[in-house]
Amino acid sequence: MNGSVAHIARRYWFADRAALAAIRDAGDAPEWGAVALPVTAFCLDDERLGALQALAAEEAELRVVDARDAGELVAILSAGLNRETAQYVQFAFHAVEDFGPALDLLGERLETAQGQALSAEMLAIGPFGVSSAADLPEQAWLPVGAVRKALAENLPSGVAALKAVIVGLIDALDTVESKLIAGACYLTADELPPLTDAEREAALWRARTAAAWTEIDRLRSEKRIRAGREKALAARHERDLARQAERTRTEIDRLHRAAGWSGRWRARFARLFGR
Amino acid sequence: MTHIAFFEPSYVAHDARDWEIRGSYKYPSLLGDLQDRAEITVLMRDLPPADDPHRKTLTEDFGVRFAALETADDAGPHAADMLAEDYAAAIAALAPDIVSTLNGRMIGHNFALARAAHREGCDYVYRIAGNDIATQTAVREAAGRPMRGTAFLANLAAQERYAVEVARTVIVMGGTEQSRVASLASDPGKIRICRRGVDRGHFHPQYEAPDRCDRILFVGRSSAEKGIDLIEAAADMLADERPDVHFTIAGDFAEREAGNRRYLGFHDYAALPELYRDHHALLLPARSEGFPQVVMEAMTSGLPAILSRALFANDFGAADGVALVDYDPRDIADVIVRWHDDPVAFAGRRRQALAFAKTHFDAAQNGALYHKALLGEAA
Repeated sequence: MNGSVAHIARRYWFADRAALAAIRDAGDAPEWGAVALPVTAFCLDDERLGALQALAAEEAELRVVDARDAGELVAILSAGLNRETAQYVQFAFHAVEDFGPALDLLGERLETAQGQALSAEMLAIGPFGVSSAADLPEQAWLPVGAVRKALAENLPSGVAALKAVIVGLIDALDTVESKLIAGACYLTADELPPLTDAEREAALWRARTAAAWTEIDRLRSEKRIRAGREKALAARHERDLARQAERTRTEIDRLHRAAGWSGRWRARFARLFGR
Repeated sequence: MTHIAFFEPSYVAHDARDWEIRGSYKYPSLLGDLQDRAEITVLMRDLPPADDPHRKTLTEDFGVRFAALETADDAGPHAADMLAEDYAAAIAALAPDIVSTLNGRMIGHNFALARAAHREGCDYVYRIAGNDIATQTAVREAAGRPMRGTAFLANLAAQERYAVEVARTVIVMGGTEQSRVASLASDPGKIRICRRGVDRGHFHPQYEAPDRCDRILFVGRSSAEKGIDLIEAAADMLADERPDVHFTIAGDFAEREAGNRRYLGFHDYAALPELYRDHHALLLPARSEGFPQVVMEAMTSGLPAILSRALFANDFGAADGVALVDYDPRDIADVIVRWHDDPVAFAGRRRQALAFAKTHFDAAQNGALYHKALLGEAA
């Protein structure tokens, strides 16, 4: 509602095929909608670059960087960090579903954090539902200065090494911990526990059932809202009709009174001067 | 003077009992003398008629101003933004200093109210009457809906955390809820226990203690979360083992008798003391609760209580007139057998229950605590 996170923070998202496949495969994910958080997407493979560039043309908050050359990644990232105007950055190695109200509140907390890192809780979205998650780098919002310093001291050679540096930095920083759930990360296939075919089938059925119930909720809400709007419109119509009737009655009264007044004078003139 | 606005469930003409409970009992007991220290507005989508007796009493005796709230009143995940906008519009129009709820409300409503209060810059007091996530999970799973590990539940969890974070003060009903909510709050220091309490002039024990414990009472709704299935299973076990023991299951039941069980319908506030005095112990093996009013009423009436360990372990010790049980009919039956077979031990439990109730459940003491928490004063 306040949109304050946009003024102070930015997400650096390292987007690859696996991250986007995780979004596609999620059978029962929360639908929390878009937020106004500025995002720089570092595209790590050919396949997604075009799609994200097309998306960036429509969304002002999204900046897409071609980072397909792993050897250039750190140089590109460092250059981006040197130009960074946000005070805090979040390093996202997964696709993230943001819970907007909490993220905005987090933005307000960042404004008063006085340079300290801040963490919030993140959930984990898998193909079959949502679970709690521990120790995701996406939980942390890091002061830009600390990130610049850490990267200068430990030059990582690729995304995995970069993630290790960021995790090390998170452990080293004095962090203000918030219990807010700021969003959820889409876990990639290689992060999921192995399931037997029967377990997979059961989990799939469960996720589909949960998603169907969510759709029923949505339709019910839509129906209630439409009914509420119709009721409000009907009430307004009734009120307008009542006001119109009152105006008409007043006008008729006025005309009657005027007619009475003019009629009386006509009769008086007729008596004095004849027709 | 401080202005407090309470966002309450709509009046529903065909649900007279709901309004009777709120209007004649719940609201008066929570408001008490609050009008001496604050202006009070109660907002509802549909208001009770102007000549409704409870509305008149609340207006004339408790200083309540009723105001209509323009809203679809839908707290579902797809209408959350709209509900927050509706609440924010009402707050902007009324300009209260504090917003809260009197009735326990679902997380969606509290999330919307928290967002609206935060946007409009007024204090929000989150009164958590019970673990709504546990309740919704029990109710929806009973209806065949998967809940654990779903996006729906994740959304509720995120909304609850947000409301707790925004709240200036969080009010809970007991130690178990305090412990649960503390794990959700960045600042657990803002959580306070404020029960509604019991009018000890209305609820008091029968003059002579019963010789034995053989009349067991449950009061509440007919739902799985209240543990009715456990009560019935324990009653079945005791039908042969202790034929003198009888169970009364009172709430929203069709009146009937089945073996050692008697089912009763709704008892209004005036009829409750007699119901308690006519029994020897309370049985409430609930799976989800805040801190039930019936426990306070029963113990104040001299009934020791058999309660679920999972919900009440943080509220009662070994010498407080309560036996804590697992969700196991055998465990419940064993406690009843012990109390039935040993009159001296049962009399001791009864004395403990009365003493604990006197110290902890008095409405006037709890009302003062609640008003202080609401107004942001030190306890």
